[in-house]
Amino acid sequence: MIEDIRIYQSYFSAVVIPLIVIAIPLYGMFKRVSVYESFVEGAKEGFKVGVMIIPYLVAIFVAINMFRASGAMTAMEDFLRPALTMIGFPPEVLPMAIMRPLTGGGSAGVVADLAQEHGMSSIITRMAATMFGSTETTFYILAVYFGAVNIKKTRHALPAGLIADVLAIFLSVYIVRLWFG
Amino acid sequence: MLNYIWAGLIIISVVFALWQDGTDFKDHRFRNGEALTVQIDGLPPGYADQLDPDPVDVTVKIDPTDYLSFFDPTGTQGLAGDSEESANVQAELQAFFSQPLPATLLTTAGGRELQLAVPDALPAPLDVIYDATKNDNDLLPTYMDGWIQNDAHPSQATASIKFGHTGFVNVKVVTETMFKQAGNAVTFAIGLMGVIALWMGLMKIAEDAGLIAVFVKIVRPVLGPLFPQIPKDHPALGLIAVNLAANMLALGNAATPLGIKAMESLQELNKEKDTATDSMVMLLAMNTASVQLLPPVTLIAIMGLAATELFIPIFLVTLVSLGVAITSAKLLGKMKTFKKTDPMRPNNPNAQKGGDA
Repeated sequence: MIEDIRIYQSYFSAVVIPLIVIAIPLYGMFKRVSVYESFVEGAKEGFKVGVMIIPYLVAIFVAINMFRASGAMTAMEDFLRPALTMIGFPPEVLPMAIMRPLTGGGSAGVVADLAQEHGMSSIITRMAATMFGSTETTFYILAVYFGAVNIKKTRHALPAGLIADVLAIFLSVYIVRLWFG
Repeated sequence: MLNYIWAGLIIISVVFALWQDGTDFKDHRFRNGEALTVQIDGLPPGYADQLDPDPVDVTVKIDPTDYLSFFDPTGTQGLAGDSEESANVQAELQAFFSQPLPATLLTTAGGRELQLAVPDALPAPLDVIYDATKNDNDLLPTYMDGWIQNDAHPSQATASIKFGHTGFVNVKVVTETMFKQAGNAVTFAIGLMGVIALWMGLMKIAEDAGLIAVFVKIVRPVLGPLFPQIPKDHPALGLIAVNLAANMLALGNAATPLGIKAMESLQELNKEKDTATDSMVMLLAMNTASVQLLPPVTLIAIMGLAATELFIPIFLVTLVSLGVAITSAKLLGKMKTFKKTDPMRPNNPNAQKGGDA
């Protein structure tokens, strides 16, 4: 059953994008749109957006990676560990919880490390992987999505995103524990 | 809030690094200026009598006990001691120094210099000293402080060596990271351009063909109440739906360009172009906590088959966190501080021309 899901999923991923890519121009031609002209017109934006997000990405990448490199992130983990352990949060997945909203690549690395150390089907790896799968790199999304349209004043976007992140991280621990007994 | 977090990250990083470096100085952690005794072997015959000898290849043996008492004479740095941890450290040191290290012995204007070729996974704190002082050939330079030729075995000598001066290591790493990541951000953004262009081109076709308008009609009943600021037939809602769908199906590299496209559409309605509207915040919150029908591709790449078992837990977690993201975006938006900065508020004095839909 699980094996079937995996196969269907890989088939699905393989065909869904090509299908979208042919469906859109096909529908466009059916509606008598000059598809090539429209495509190029729209694609021009890609370049603008790419340049536009640079300052925002520099700000976010620099701040977050300085924080990691200085060792302050590890110190923060040490600081939070006793309190979190008390409420049933395994200390091994703490690096994941802290890194997830900050960096996508870094948190993927944590999952890989834990999988290697504890095995794929250990509860620790499953918790970390569920955290990875169920939250997004909030700071990066914020920089890219708002950077692309030059939004500097983000208002309540970060608190809202972080509240959802924190909840998802705790929920991952408890749901995985329930689900896998 | 982002202002404080951003500045906080940078300030904490530098202060923390400086504090650690200060502690290293205070503890005299790298023994700057002090000499460690080592055994040198493999000297060519008559080496001691030469006035200006050529560089020679030798081997260097460091006694683990000497190493310990050199770097941690008081046993306060966790290296020496009776605990299980320090027993492990001592066993590792024994293993590491059981083999002599290859080295080059040369004579410079400043005296004899011994350049050690060291393997990876150096014991602390030599690893830090190595990173801070290694030369262009990735050798660890050390400077001769004393030299006793072994008369019985002319190929051997006892020497005391000093390591290169090591300090402000953490601050240097933080500074390097800062410059490296600034460059990295640019490379990353340029790498994204192609994919963004591709999806934006396709979406433009979909828009011109009226496909987005069809989408708007379908998703209006569900998404409409979440985005009350979007006028009835505006394409923004359709683009938001496409972005959320891409997220749910774990089409990671399509989701970002589509989200940007949706943001651009929302920006058309924005009356104050540098400030996020409630709709924008809602879209961002929904994206950071998006429902995953399929586990993300990265996770499958890391975990393979094991990732599929997490399919249902991930779905459940994202479902709840999506609910929370929507609720907190709505509730926070009602708070006084955020409400008074809403670009769409009536009589906004900063409203720009052309912001009206």
